Amino acid sequence: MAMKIIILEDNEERRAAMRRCLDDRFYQYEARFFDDAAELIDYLRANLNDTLVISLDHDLELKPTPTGEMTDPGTGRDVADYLARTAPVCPVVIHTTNSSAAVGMEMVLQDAHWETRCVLPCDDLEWIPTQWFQSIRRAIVGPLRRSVEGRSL
Amino acid sequence: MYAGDLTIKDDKVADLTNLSGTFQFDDEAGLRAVAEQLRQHGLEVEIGAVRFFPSDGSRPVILE
Repeated sequence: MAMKIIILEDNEERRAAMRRCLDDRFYQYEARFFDDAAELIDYLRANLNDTLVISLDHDLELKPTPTGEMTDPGTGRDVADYLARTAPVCPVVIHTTNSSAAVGMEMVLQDAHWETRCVLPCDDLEWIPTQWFQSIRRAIVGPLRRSVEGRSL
Repeated sequence: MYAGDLTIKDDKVADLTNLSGTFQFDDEAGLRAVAEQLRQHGLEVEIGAVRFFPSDGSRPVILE
């Protein structure tokens, strides 16, 4: 089964740019995008051990229901709080313009011994193939995190 | 011929991989051969730097 690259991001243009980067270099992994924190947490409950890296936005737009009502999709902090209650399994990249929220997410994850990297979005989408993808690559490729057998990354 | 990417840090190869969406090489021996070629050209390849990403999407492995 292919390992998963999990991304919380509700902006379609950002998603498309991220997918282009991942399809080019990490084509062998399954990239899964979410725009709702609760849905992502449900997915992680079943798939966290098959996850290679998680990338989290913080602020998410309200979502319309079929009846026209707006629902709150939560925030990246909800996901960070969930992860902090579990054993670390992979790096987490935090990509949000909400810098104070990013600090909080990083603190709660690091306190729970999760490896984190922060990216501050800038210049429309230019940060995605540069800072964001560099952080994703570094998170996936290294630093080394050996398994008991000393062979798996 | 082989394709992937590498990172050089402090004049040493910190990571060497088969990550290339264009060529998608899936051969551990080829990646080891690249590492050996780099050594023969005088580059130090750090222990644990040679990292192979299987094409089936399974967990990456350290080759050497």
